[in-house]
Amino acid sequence: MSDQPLIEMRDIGKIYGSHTVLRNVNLDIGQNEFLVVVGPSGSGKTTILRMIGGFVEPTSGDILLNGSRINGIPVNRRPFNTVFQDYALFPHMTVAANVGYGLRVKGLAADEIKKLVAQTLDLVGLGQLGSRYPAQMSGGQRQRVALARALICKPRLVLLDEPLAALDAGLRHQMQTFLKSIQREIQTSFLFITHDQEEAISLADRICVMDHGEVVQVGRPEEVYYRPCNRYVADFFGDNNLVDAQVKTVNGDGVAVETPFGMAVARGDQGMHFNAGEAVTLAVRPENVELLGANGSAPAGHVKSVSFVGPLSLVEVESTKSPGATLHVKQLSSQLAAPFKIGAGVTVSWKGKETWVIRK
Amino acid sequence: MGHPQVNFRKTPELGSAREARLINSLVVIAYILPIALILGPFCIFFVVSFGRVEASAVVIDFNLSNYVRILADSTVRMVIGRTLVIGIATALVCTLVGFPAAYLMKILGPTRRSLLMVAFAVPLLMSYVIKIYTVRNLLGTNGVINHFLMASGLVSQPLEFFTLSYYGVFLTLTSVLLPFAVFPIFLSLDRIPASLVEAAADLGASRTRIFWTVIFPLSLSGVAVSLTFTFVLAIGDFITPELVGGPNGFTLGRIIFSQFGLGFNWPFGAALSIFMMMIVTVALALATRIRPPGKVTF
Repeated sequence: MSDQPLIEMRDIGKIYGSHTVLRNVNLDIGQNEFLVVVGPSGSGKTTILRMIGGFVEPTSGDILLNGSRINGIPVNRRPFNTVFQDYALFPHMTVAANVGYGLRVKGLAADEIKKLVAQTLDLVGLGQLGSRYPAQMSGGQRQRVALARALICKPRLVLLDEPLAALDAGLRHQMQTFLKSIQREIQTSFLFITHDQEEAISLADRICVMDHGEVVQVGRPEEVYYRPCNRYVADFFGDNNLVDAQVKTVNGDGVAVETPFGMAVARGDQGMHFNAGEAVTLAVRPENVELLGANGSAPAGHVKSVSFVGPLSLVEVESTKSPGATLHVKQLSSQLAAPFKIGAGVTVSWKGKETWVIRK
Repeated sequence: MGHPQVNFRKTPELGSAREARLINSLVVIAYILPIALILGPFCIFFVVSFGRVEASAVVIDFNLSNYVRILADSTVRMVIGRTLVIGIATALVCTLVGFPAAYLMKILGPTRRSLLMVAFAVPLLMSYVIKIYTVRNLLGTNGVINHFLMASGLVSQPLEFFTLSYYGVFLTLTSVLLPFAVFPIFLSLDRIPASLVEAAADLGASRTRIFWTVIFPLSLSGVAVSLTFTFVLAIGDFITPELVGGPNGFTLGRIIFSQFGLGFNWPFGAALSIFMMMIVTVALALATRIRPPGKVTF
C-alpha cells in the first residue's frame, strides 16, 4: 500500500468569526515526501501545518492519517513532531534534556535516552554540546537542537514552520542542504512551510502554492516553475515574462497565439480548453526565449536595454507593434554581438515546449 | 500694533546647552533624593541604635547593649521567632493560594481575566486600615465567623483560630497580602511563550506534565518575588498586629512601633529595626536562589 498517502486533507475549511482562513483545501502528503507549502503571509499556510499538528481544529472537512480520520485527536497523541519558527527550546533545560524530552515523556529508560540523545545530536552535528543551555548557542545551532528534538521521537511526519526564516542567507543555504539530506537519510515525510519561493523550489519533492486560504497549485518544482496554472503562480515564482496574447488555433495541448512580438506556439493545460479568439497570457522564462537578428525581415521589437550579469546577460526587448509591451530575455553574454546593441531590431524565437499559456 | 510679537529667544532650542544643563541637574536630583531620604535616615538609625535612653533623653555613647538585649531577652527572642513563623507562614500560604489564582488569570479569556485582575487589584487601592477593619469584623470570639460557626451548631464554643490573636494576625496578613503574591506570579506565567507549551504538547506531554516540567519551573522567578514580597511585608507590619493581634499577638513590627511611641526607647527600636533589615537581607539573598536553571530570557 505504498500508494496510500500519509496525510490527506479533505475539503478543509477554517473560519475564525467572520474571517475565512482556509477554504476548500484538498492536499495529500505522500510517504517519505518532502512537501513544501509556500505562499505570502496570511495565505493560510501556517494554519495547514498547525491543523495537521493538532494545534488548530478545522471548521469543516477531515484530516486522514494513513486513511484513518484524526480530527479531534489532541496534539500530544499525534505521531508528528514540530520544529517551531522560534525553535521553542526549553530555556531551563540543557540541550540534551531538550532533545530527550519526548523520550522521557514516552517513559524510556534513562540509559536508553542517553544513548539515543547522543546519536541524534551526532546526526545533527552537535555531538559535543549536549550539556549547554539554549541561551549559550547560536541561531543555527538552536535550529539543529529543535530538529533533533523533533526527529528523536521518530515521527511519521516532521512539521517545519518557517524554520529558516531567522537565519542569515549563508546559514540558510547550508541548513537547506542539511535538511534535505537528513530527510533522505531518515526516510520520513516533511511538511515545510515557507514564504520563500527559492527555498521551496530547492527543497521540495512537491510544492503546494497557497493564496488567500486556497490551494492554487500543487506540483513538482519544475511544474509550478515552468507550467503555472494561473497568473498568480506564474508571478510568484521569480522572473516570468507575462505576455498578453490572443489564441488563434488550438490543437490538443498546443495553442497558436498572436503576441506583440509575433506568432508563437505554446502549450497549455489540456483541461483548460482554450478557445480561438480568447485573450490569454503567456508565461515564459527569460532563458526560454531566443533573440535573432532581424536580417532584413520586419523586426518584432528592438533592444531597449542590456544588462550584463555574468555569463548570462539580461536583454529587454520592446515590441514594435505595441510599444510598452516588453520581454526580458537571458542571452549568453558571449553571443551578445552587434545585432543586440541598444536600438537594434530583433525577432523573437519561442521555444514551444517551454512557452506556457494560461488564462488571463 | 496689530501683529503679535513672537520672541524667538525665549523658546529653548531642542538639545541646546541650556536644556542639557536642565536634564543633568534633574538627573543629579533623581540620584540625590533617594540617597538623602533613605540612606540618610538609615545612617542616623544606625548610629542611634548604639545609644541609650537616660532621663527621657537619647544618649549616644556607642554601646552594644541594645543588640545584646535582642539576643538575651527571652521575650524579644520569642517575639522574633513568632514573627518569623508568621512571615514564613504568610509567604507560603499567599504563594500557595496565589499561584492557582494567577494561573486561572492566565488561562481565562480576556474578559474574565480582566475581571479577576480588577478583583485582586481593588484591595490595593483601598486604605490599609479599612482592609484590616474589614477582616477584624470577621474575627474575634463574637466575630462573624465564630458567630456563624456557633449559630450553625458546627462548634460548641468559639474557635481560637478566628479570634483577635496571633492567628488573627496571620489570617489578616494572608488576606491583605494576597495580591502581592498573585500579580508577580501572573506576570511570570504571562511571559512564558505559548510556543513552549505547544512544543511540550507536541512532544507528547500531558497537561500535568507540561505544568510540572515547563510552566512551573519557568514561573519560579514570580514565585520568588511573591515569597519575598509577602514575607517582607508580613514581618515588618505593625498595624495589623496592633489592630487584630489582641494581647498575645505581638510581632517584631509591633514592638518596634511601641519603642517609638509608648515605650520611648528609640535606641532599642533602632537596633530592632537594624536587626529586621538583616533578616530581610537574608530573605532576599535566599530568594535569588529560587530560579530555573540555565539562562531564561524572555
